[in-house]
Parts: sequence; C-alpha cells; structure tokens
Amino acid sequence: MKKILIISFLTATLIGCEDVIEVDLPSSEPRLIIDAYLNLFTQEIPVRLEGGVRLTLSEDYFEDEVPIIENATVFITNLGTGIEYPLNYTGADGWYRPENSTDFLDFATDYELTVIYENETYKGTTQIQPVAPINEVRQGTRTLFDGDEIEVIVSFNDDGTRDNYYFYEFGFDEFQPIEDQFFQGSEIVFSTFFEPEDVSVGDTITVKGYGITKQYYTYIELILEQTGDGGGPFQSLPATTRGNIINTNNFDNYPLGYFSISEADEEKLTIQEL
Amino acid sequence: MRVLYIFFTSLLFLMNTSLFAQQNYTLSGTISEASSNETLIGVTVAIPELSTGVVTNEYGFFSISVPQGTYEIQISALGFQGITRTITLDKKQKLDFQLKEEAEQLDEVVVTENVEKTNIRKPQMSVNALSSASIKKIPVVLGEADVVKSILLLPGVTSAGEGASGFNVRGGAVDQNLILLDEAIIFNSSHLFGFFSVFNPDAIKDVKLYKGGIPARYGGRVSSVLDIYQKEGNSKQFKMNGGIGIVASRLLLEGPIEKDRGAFLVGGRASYAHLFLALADNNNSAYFYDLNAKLNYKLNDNNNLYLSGYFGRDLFAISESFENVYGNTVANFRWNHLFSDKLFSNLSLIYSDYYYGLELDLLGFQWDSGIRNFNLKYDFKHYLSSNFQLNYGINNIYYRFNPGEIEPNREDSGIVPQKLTNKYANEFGAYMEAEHKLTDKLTLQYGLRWSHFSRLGQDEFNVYENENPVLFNSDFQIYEGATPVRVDNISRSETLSTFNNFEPRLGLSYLVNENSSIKASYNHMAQYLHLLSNTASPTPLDVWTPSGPYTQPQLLDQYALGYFRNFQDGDYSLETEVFYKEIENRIDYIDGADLIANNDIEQVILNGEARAYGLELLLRKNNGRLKGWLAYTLSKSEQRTPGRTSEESGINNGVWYNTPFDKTHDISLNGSYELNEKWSFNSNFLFQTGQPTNYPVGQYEQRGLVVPIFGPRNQERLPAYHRLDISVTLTPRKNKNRKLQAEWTFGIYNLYNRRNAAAVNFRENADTGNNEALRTSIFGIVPSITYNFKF
Repeated sequence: MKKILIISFLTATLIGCEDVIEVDLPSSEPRLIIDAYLNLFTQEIPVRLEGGVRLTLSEDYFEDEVPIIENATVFITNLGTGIEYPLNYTGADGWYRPENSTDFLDFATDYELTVIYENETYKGTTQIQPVAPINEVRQGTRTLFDGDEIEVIVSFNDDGTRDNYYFYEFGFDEFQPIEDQFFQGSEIVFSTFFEPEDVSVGDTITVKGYGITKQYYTYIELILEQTGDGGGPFQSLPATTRGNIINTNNFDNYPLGYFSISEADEEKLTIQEL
Repeated sequence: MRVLYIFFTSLLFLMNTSLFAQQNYTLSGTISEASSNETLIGVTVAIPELSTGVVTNEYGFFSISVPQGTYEIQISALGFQGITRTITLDKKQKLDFQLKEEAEQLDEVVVTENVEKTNIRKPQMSVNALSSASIKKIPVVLGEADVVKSILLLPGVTSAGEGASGFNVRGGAVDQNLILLDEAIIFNSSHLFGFFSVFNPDAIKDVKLYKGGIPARYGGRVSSVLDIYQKEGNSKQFKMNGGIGIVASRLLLEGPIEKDRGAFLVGGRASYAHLFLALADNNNSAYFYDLNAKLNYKLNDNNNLYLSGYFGRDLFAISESFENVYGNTVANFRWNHLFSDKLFSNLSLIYSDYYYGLELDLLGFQWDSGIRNFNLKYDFKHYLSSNFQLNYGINNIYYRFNPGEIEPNREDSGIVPQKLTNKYANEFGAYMEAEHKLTDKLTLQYGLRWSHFSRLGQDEFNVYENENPVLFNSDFQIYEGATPVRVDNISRSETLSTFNNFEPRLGLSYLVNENSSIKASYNHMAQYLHLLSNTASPTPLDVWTPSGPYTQPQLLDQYALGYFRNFQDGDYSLETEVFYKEIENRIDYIDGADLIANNDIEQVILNGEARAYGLELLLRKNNGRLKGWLAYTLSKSEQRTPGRTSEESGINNGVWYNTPFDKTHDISLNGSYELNEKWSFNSNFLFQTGQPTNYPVGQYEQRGLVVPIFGPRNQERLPAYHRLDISVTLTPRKNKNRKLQAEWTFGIYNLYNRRNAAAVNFRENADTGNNEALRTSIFGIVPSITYNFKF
C-alpha cells in the first residue's frame, strides 16, 4: 500500500524534469552479501524448489559488476533434528543450491543457514512461511499513467486466523510485498501494471506468490524503496538495511542480505488483445 | 512553582511602583485607514517631549498614560501620511485617528514608506514584519504573490526547495512553526505541494515572523511564530479587487453592512484545473481553491465583534484511479472589549481542522485523516503607564487527531474497513508578560508562560513491557518495534499522561545612541505536537501526533544577541544577530521506519535532541526610488539520538548529523526600483548551500536487484541552490482619473534557467544496466503575467 500512496508524490515530481548527472561518490569496504531464499512450490509434485544461496561482495556504486564468491562452505541445519543439509556451488554466478526440496518443508522448526567464508562464520535463522494459493490471474483494462500499460489482476484468499505477509514477483524485476492489515480474512484483489515495452500481446507472464515473515516484509519493502527510481524529494531517509544474518566471529564485519524460506505458488497468463 | 511565585510577586511590585508614581491621564483610541475604516496595526503614537510612545495592537487600539500637560502627539505608520496634533491632557481622553495612504495624495511617487524600518527601541528582536504591499512586489514563480515565498527572503528562513511544503526557521523543522491566521492555528500552510501558500495576498493586512525572543503570549511551537492578520473589510464603501494570472485568479469583495459600523469581506482564489501542462493530455488534474469570509461589527465604542471563516482545498487526481484532497478549514469568532481605557481584551473562539483524504480506485479504498481542534483564547493588554505594559491571558486547545480511516469505495472491493486509533489531547496555557521601560536607554520585556498538556484516554492504547515500545536488537544492531503486552481501552475522561512546563521569556534592549541599540533575548518553550515526517521534504500526508506516554514534548532554549543600527535618518538599517538554540526530545525515526498508516507509531520513534546556531545579517535600504535588502545567514543545524543504554547504538550510531534543513550559507538579495509612476522593477537573487542528503557508498545485489549501500545520515549535499528572478510592473497612466485601477505584472522566475536539484536519486538504468544518478528539478525558467485590478 505504501508504494501506491507514494505514487501521489512521485507524480508531483513528474511536473518537474529529470536528467542524469555526474556525481562523485565515496567508497566503502567490501562486505559479504548473502542472498538466500528458498521458494518451495508445494502444489507441484514433486515439490519444486527455486532460489538457493548466492554469495557476492559489495562494490562501489558506479562499478558495473559485483564480485562473486565460489569457494565458500554453505549448509542449512534443521535445528529440530540437528541434521545439516549441504548446499553445493553450482559453478555459475555465485549460486549454491541444496539437493532436495523436501528437506525444508517442516513448518514447526527453525532452519539455520551457515556460510563459512575466509575463516569467518556467518549464521542466520528462519522458519518456512505459508502462502495462500492464488485464486486467479486475469487481464484488466485499466491503466496507470500513460494510458497504455497492461493491467494484470491477481486475487487470493487471506488466512483470517493469523497476520500474513506475502511477497509477489511478476518478472521484469517487479515485486510487491503485501500485508493483510486491511484485508484480514478476505479475498485480496490487487493489480499490477506492465509497461508496453516489457510485455506485449502473446507474451506469457508468470505471477509468483510467496509467504514471508513480518521481518522480511519490512526488510524487502525498504530494499524495494531503495532500488526504485526513488520518490524524488519525498523519499524517506535512506539507510543501509540489515538483514537477519550475523558474522559470529567478527561482529562489525556484518554481512548484508537475508535468509528466508517460503511456501510458493504460481500462475501463468498469456496477454491478449482486449 | 517557586519560580512562578517569585515572578508574580515581583510583577506586582513593579505594578505598584508604577501605579503610585504620579497622577497620570490616559489617551486612548483606535487608529484606522481613512478610506476604509480598516484598523491599522503597529502605528506609532509618540510623544517626543517625553520621549515615549506606544504602537497600536492587532486591533488598532492604543493607550498611553502620561502626566497632565499639553503635548504634541505624532502618529506615524508605514506608507501613511503622518499626523501631528497638540493635545491638552487634563482628563482621560479617547481619540480615534484616521490615516491616509501616502501615495493617494502625492502627485509624484516619493517613496518614503519605510515599511519594515528597524525599530531599535523595542526589546523585541528576531522579528521581521512584511506588509502586504511589499509581499506583492516580490517576484515569484507563476506570478502569484505569496507570504511564505516572501519570508524565505529573510535571514534565517529557508525551505526544503521548490515543491516542498512549509518553511524552516533558524535550522528548525517545518512542524516547529506556529502559523496563526487571525489567531487560528493553521496546520498546513501550503497549496499544491508548496507552490502556493494558503494565504490570500489580497486579504492580508499584517505579517510578522518571530524567530527568537518569542513573547510569552505565544506557545506550543519551538522555532517561530508566523502571525498573520487579515483585513476586516471596508466599512465606508464597496470595493473590489482581484487578479488574473496564468495559473490562478483571485477576487476580493468588501463593503459596509452598516456604514462606519460593520463590514464584510469575501475573497476567493482558484487555480485552473489543468495547472500543469505536462499532465494535461490525460485525465490528470491538480488544482486548489480557497475562500475567505469575514464580518465585523462595532457594537459600541467598547465592543467589537468579528466573525471569520477560511476554507481551502487542494485536489490532485491521476486519471480515474487516484484522487487526493486536502486542506484547512477555520472558523473564528472574536470579541474585542475595552474594560477601561487602559485595559483591552480579546476573546477568541476558534475551530480549525486539517483534512487529508485519498481515494484509490485500483485498490478500492477511501482514506481519510486529519486533525481538529477547538481553541479558546482570552487575552488582555493592560496599558498601565507609559513605561509599563502588561499582557496576560489564557488559552485552551482541545485536539482530536484522526491518523487515518480506511473504507472500501466500491462493492467488489476486498478492503476491510478499519480505523487507526483516534488520539485526544488538551493543551492549556496561561501567561503574563510585561514590557517595561526602566530608563530612557534600557527597556525590558519579560514574561512567563505556564503550559499544561494532557494526553487523554483513547481506544486501543498499547501497553509495552517496561513501557518500552522500541527494542534494540543487538545481533543486528537495529531498532525494532516491541510487541504490546496488552491493549487497553481507556476512557477519554481519563488522562494517559500530563506535562507541565514553565516557559520564561526575557528580552532587553539597550539604546547605545539615537541610532543604534543592542538587544538580547532568551526564551524557553515547549511543543507538545509532532509532525511525523521522515522524508527529505514534508508532504501533505504527514500526520500530526501528540506527546504522550511514549513521546516527550520538545523543549527549546534559545539565546540571541543582536546589534541594530539605523543610518542616515533611517534610510539604511542594519540588523545583526547571533543565536544558539537547543531542543530536547526532538523525535527521530529508526532506520526504515514506515510512518504511513502506522497505528503503532511509538514503535518507530525515539526521543533525540537537536541544536542550531548561526549568524544573521540584514542590511536594508528603506527609502528612495531604489529599495531593498541583503540578507545573509551563516548557520548550522544538527540532531542526534544516542542509545538509551550503553548497549544501544543510537540512531546513526548516536552521533550528531546534519538536519535536512541545515543550510550553511543562505544569501538573498531583493531590490525594487520605481522608475516613474508607470514602471517599477523588482528583482531577487537567492543562494543556498545544498540540502544535506544521502548518496550511496556502495552497491550489492539482492533478488536480482541492485541495492545501494548508505553510510551515516546526511553526509552529502545536493548541489547549491541559486536563482535570479525579475519582474516589471506597469501601471497605466490612464488610471489616474478613473475608478478602475489596474496594473500588469510581467515576471521571469529563474532567469538563467538553473536546474536546481530538488533531489538526486540513484537507480539502475533499465536499458544499459548501469547505475546512474538522476537529478529531479522542478522549475526551470518560468515567465508569468498577471493582471491586477481594483475599483
């Protein structure tokens, strides 16, 4: 909801103009980045797993690439049973993946991620979060600003027995975190808009929904706010967002990134001429 | 309590000494403008023989008591012909005076209206006055005269830039300004995100900005007081004036209800729906309108009644999917009563509210929020002797805060109606202040205000373990909201917490010689309301919240010292001041605080502190064809929020950081030149150090997104802000002998088309995949034309 509210101010800045300028930026020491998420599509047989653990380093802002890490030790421990599940390097782009998707489906336990890199051990803990299955993904006819965006309407039924936090992914680096504060127990219907240069008639888009923790919801909202085009003068004071992973050896050399396990669901939709 | 006691006993002592001094007679009356009966504020009534005098108050009243004798009385005011009269005072006398505007009488425009001439005798310092005439002369964007834009040209006043609401005084935040319109509190002074202010320039009579040494009669905000009085209406003849501009037009009607006794005034302004051409090609619109209505009636010589109302709305819509409405409503009843020729009183009953509404069709909801208050004020001005004036009064404000209410706007909406919890509070103030001329050279102004704030009971009040709503997570070195252990419903007749503050105010002026003086002041003030805003620029959506169990009131201590000098008979004046101020309990937001629609706001704020200091310089040329001023401010404004215990890091590691309104250098140059009766020229130049901001110190990747890394807060600055504006006013000669008086104003804002940055944001370019810095600027060069008329 926040994002939508901010549109009003974004638009206020549309009356001005934007241009790219040269700015000298300070540097900072590189940090370990742990981008760890396991998305488990439980409605499929066998259960499909997407994601894994991606290890990189931070870099100066105007550099084109970030360094990847290929030589770390990575495993996830089920703290209920004490069993360790190793994640092996895939050989590409810093990704480490587990062997079995079914090892992470225990909703009653804590899972602990361990990353050992350059003799320092990084740890983070999470629980798998349930998702509400998507009821429907359909095409709408409304537009947003320019009048030529493509509307996609998504609906699902919120679980009224608990506070839920959801995270939706639409492709094209478009995400939407959703909390059920204003929708407790009812059907949540929301729209997302695709730019015509990204999506055209005949393309198939994939909508993925994930269950996430409240803490991750707060975290990802901030990440999205900082990666967007920015709210112009109405952007809130940015701060580096700490995730849920610590360095157990050297407290100040903390990593950035987050460890989450989500139950997931997806629906596809082929865009038609309306 | 002891302080209060000593204060009042010493006041009584002073009153006694002055009362028993000598047999005095009182001259009192009201001063008004000859053609309209509009009362005049700040007119000097001087008795040179005794080197004493008074100025008229906000309702045009004056009273002066002097020993029996025959005196020459001089009455002088800004832009008016003075009156000199010899009066024999052997009994008390009531005399009303009427002043004529200077320009109306003279063939040649000899400009001697020293509108804002420095008053070196009064202990009141850190105050700037602007007349409606000078506000109208200042060239502004889109040609619309504007109070807030005008005060930005004064030393110590800045804004977050184009398109930002409000203004900052001496490094203070926007919510620390007390904005009074005919004694009513205005919560948002901006139209259209700050492009206009809510004050109709045609209706304005008097504007005063207090930046320091704030008198005890004002309370509730810690940075400044912007005290605006509007015209009451012409009780002699019907008059109409207005203006037609490119973006907005205005019309003001005034006239008698009963000749010389009662008058009405109705004014309206509206901007055109498709204000911004860039948005005009699809169904988007952005416009505002406001309406002023006033009535006044003189019951008899001792009683005047005033009724006034203000209603303003902004509307902002994007096609059919989004609609946003906000604005102020004020209704105000005032009763002036003279208990005696020495005791003037004003009773005000004021209702005001600020509304913010949002309708978002995409998600199917309507959102309403606002703040509403009932305000009762009873103020007395007691003119005890020519050397001693006492003001005292009480003020009670009852507040209702509605942080937000959401409901579905159509049947198929999945929105569950919900209400963020209303909050209630009551603020009471009582004050007494004295202006006391001790010797010919030394004048003191001292006072005390007692403020009492009660946060009243509400539904859904969160109770936390150890009364601590914000926890520190030492693993991740971040602050997090605590989970309430209990949620209570507390009756509104109960009190959640109360605060008491004694706020001493002190000012003195010492006359070094006839042309120069030294002034010093100290003020302690409390502010119980906070505007929740963690964006670089304030927005209309920001919500006010009262102090309470989890939020302490802001407490200010400010010291100022100044040197004031008039040169060449007041043709030039120089005002220099240094100030230092500290604010306790300035709220700060934990990293990543989400303030929008947050029902548990206490979970994201901590009490910190702020400080600001600086030097201000104002050099004016008051007379002649060429007039104007140069203002320069060198200042620093910082805040910090240290950890509450040694384990906590505090916000920004507990170290001082620049507030978003820290502008090291602030220069403004304003000049006006009257070539002849037909042509006059005006120009402004502004320069400000860039606003503190945050630039990324690194980047990383997360879920395929490029995420910037930020260092400590507000370490970088936007590029410096500067621009030059000019305007030319053409008053056709044929005006002279006809009823319709007209003029044309042609203006160019930002003459050299500087692209001043309102913000610099960083993003990944969608096409190249490279990161880039993106500058947002609002106004480039903007020409304007306005036609003003009156008859």
